[in-house]
Amino acid sequence: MSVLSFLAPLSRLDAPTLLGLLSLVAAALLSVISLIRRAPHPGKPS
Amino acid sequence: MNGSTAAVLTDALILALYLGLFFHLARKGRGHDAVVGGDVSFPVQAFAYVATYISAVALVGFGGLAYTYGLQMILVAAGNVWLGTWAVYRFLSWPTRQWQQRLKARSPAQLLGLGHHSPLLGRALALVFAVFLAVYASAVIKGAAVLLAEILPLPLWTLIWLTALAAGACVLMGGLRGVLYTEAMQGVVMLLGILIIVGAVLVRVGGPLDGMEALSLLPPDARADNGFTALSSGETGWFIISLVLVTSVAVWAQPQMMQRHFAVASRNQLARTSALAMLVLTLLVGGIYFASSLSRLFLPPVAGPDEVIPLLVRTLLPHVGMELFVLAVVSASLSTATALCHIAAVAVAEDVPARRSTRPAWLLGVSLCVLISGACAQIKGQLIALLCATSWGMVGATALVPYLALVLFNRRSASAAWGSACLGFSACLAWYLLVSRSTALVPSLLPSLAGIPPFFAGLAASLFGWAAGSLLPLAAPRKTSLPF
Repeated sequence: MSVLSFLAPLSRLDAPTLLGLLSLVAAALLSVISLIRRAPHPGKPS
Repeated sequence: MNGSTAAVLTDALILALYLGLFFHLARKGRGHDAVVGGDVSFPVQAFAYVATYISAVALVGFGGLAYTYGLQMILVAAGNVWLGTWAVYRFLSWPTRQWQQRLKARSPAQLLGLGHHSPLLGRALALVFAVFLAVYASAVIKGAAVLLAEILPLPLWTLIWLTALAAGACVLMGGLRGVLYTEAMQGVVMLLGILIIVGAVLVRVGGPLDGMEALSLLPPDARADNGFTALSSGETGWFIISLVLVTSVAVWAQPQMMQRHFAVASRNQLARTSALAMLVLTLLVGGIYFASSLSRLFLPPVAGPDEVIPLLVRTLLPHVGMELFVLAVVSASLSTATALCHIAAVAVAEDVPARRSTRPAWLLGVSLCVLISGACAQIKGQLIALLCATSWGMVGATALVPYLALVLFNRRSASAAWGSACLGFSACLAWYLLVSRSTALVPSLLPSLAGIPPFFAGLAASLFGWAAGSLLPLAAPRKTSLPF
């Protein structure tokens, strides 16, 4: 049994809906990464 | 103290805190220019953008549609995040700010008029913005009042006037800066309220993946003919795709959204603003559409889409949670109403008379907006209903091409901009009145095309108008470089 089997319900989505869902997840992840990378650090001019 | 007394006291306390913070933040704009407002920090920018973008229509109306159409509505959320936010901050926000500074424009109407060498165009656009947005604000205000009636024992007409007055007071006290600060606070309240209901739904269905699995097993119906986890075929599928484009592209040229870019402090600020706005919007609209789709698993059949979210809230949340959710949706409406009221007031006080606004003119502009939107919200007229339904598409079809030509392509032409705005406005209006299935006043003149959204018809005509105006001798669009 694959370690990713918990993601099996995603295969129930058709391609456009899956794309929409994944693009939302990607937007959230990229936003968080961008905010963390651009956060001002102590001792470093922002 | 019995349970109902405690509930009333809790309601009063939460509402008092909300209103206290609202007016405290509105006063932060005092001492600044009421029309332009100055720079604000990136969290304020991001939350204000989202709060202006998302009204109760998106949360309650489209949330209900997600129950009806299933997970395919996630495409609308994805469009709002990528096209309506990322693309705006990537391509439009900084050029808009630069053109605004260069032209010394104080409002979106002035930006387009001065940008295309035609102050008269700016005045004409301001008139369109004032009429359509003041009336559209009435729908937004009524939406907030209807929801407030769930937690306040006051008649609806009183709540409508109180909401209109609150929006007007915010604009009058704080100008654009006050509006931005209160919108940011309301964006936070919206996020909290939506996260509560999304969390409650996910707990109820056993998590997102189990929920999707169960949803995929439901039999298809007429609205979701490929099931509730797939894009529908034929006309319904195209309806969803048109919803994606109308809500994500028409927003680019809404003046209340353009004006948010006037408060951008620097180009470096934009990356953080964009990231935070995308994250908040993903959680808000992605969350509510996802949760509403899954609610089909346990909610009884409903009479109409608008009843889904209120029923969901009543079913899952305790009283305090319900009040927070009501405040979240009221925030969505009130933030949009203050933004619309500000644009309409600027149009009346400064853009249409074509002179710098004075304090009495500003008071007159805000008062007129409160009176028009409050009065229109009280009456059920066909013309008002039509103006409300058509506002978003009409403003978008009129202003989008001249706006993009200026800020994206640096093209400036009075005749092309006039041609584009006039044809876009006329074609969109004609499509609404004579062709569109949902709004036509007569049997559709073009039944085979009745499903095409009027915004697209207006946009096509607007592009044609730009091209035709460009062909006039001595009026070809001139490309002007900005010192980016």
